[in-house]
Amino acid sequence: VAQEPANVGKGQQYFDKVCAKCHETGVGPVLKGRDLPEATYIIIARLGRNAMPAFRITDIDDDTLVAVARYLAGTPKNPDQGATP
Amino acid sequence: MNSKYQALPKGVSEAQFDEAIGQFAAALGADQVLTSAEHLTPYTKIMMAVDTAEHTPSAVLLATSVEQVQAVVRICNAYKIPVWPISTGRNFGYGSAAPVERGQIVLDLKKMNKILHVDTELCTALVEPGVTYQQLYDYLEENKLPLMLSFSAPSAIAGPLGNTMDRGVGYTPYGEHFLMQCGMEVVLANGDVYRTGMGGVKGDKAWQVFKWGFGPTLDGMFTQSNYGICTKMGFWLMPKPPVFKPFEIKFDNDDDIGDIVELLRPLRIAQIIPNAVVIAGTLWEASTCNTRRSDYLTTPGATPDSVIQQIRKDKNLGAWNVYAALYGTPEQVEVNWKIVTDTIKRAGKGKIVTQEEAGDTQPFKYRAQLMSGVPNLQEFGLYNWRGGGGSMWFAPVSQARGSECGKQVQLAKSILNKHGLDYVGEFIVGWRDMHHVIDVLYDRSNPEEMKVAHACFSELLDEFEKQGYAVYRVNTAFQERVANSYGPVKRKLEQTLKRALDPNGILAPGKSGIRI
Repeated sequence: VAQEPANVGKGQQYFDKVCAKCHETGVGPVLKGRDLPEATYIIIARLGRNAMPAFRITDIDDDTLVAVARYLAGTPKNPDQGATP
Repeated sequence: MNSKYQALPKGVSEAQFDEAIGQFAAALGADQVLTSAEHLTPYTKIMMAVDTAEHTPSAVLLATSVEQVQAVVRICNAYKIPVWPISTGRNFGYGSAAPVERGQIVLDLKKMNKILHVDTELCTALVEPGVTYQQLYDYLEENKLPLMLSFSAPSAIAGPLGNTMDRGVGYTPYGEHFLMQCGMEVVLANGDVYRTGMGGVKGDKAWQVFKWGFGPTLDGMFTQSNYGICTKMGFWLMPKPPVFKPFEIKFDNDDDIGDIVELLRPLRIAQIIPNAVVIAGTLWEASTCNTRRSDYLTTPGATPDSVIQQIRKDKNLGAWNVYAALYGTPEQVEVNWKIVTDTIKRAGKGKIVTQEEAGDTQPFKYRAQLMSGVPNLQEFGLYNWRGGGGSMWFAPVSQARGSECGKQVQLAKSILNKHGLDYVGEFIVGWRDMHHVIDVLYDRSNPEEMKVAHACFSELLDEFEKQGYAVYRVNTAFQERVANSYGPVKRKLEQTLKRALDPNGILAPGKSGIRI
């Protein structure tokens, strides 16, 4: 995984365009405002998990994936969100 | 196995493979040749009821140009290495991005992702393999082009070229994707670059407007096959109509399916309703508005009818839910709306739901989006019904005839339930045909249930075949089996073509059961 500081703006853009279509719609679990380590996002994206497909290096490069993880790590918990599944 | 590779191609030694990998690296650049577990694992994520190991690739190659694809086939021929090309690789339920056979090299064309041309007057597009529908959608939106896409439900992450090569479908009036395809560029096993239709004519401008060209028209031959690697594809786009009017018709009873099909067929054939309509069963509907089986049951086995009834009540769903749309000027839509509503009134059953009534609720919203070319992934809720990552599409073709559809539902449901699985199905309504799409959903994290799902899928194929039915498309674990449904003469001809075009059998051997 990239050593350079990842561009968080790029991460948010990718999240909004792709991940949010499941993770902000109730298909996948809510990811915003959760206290998950970066590595968790990276591992699950690359391996896929049960219902979730895997994301290849050609779908999202390492740098953008790190940026997504950092973006999510920095998102506040939505007070209306309640318990995260 | 002590190999440094995750797998080796059939009949290729590690030493030979080392050499081939060296050649690939020289041709493509070392960073475009992947062999590590870290890089290969995402390509092994499958939803089929077989071991992951059976579909593990030996390497992944990333090509960025037609010349690189030519270099790949040259090296594959030299080392007799089979290659499995993917475009966007989102073939969920049909094998995903993994090769049909363990050890094949995946040629990932996702980085070849240029939108080469969009013509707003002739309403055509020409794209590379890696272009996604979301990418095209953004391009149309940003440039305010008055054109509309058609796509499968994985819209945002899938792409037109790969979907069309497997003859996938969408939900607009352009929903039969291969029908709307026009012009194809293919790298053949001998390295030649062949263009179909008008594409071979020097100075031609009609590649994306006239399908047949001169002499044999071969586009169809390259879909669902392994005779070439598609590197460019043209297709037609629907002009964005002034009015789009999506609607739903809910039907209360399981037995209504026959009447529904009889009602819809004349409207479809006359193109009063012009789009690829769907007739979705209750559990399909439930899953796509985020209902999980575990909300109702924790016991294994088929979901009892009483529970399905309860879900219908709780979620306000029909036994069958028809989604269709009208397109055109306000006057055209008004005329056709009257024909549709009169038809339903005369039938004495079916409750019409308009967009105004449905508001922002699911699953109406995602259906309206799919029928107007707006990407979303709401339908992935299907994979949460049982969870665990198990899904195989069982998609028999049917006449658009009520009695036939009723018979197929009965047959499928009884086989699925016998194995403790659910009927989660919909009909995608063509003019005269149905893609009867059934999601065989199971918990792949449970080895016992995986075995059951495999047996169930086999039995579905067997029993449907006995009634004269076969599927239009299938996952990689069952392609050999399904090829048999279509008879030995067809297979022999396909093999003859394969031997002529790909004498070393390097292109995706096993795709649709075709080998040298």
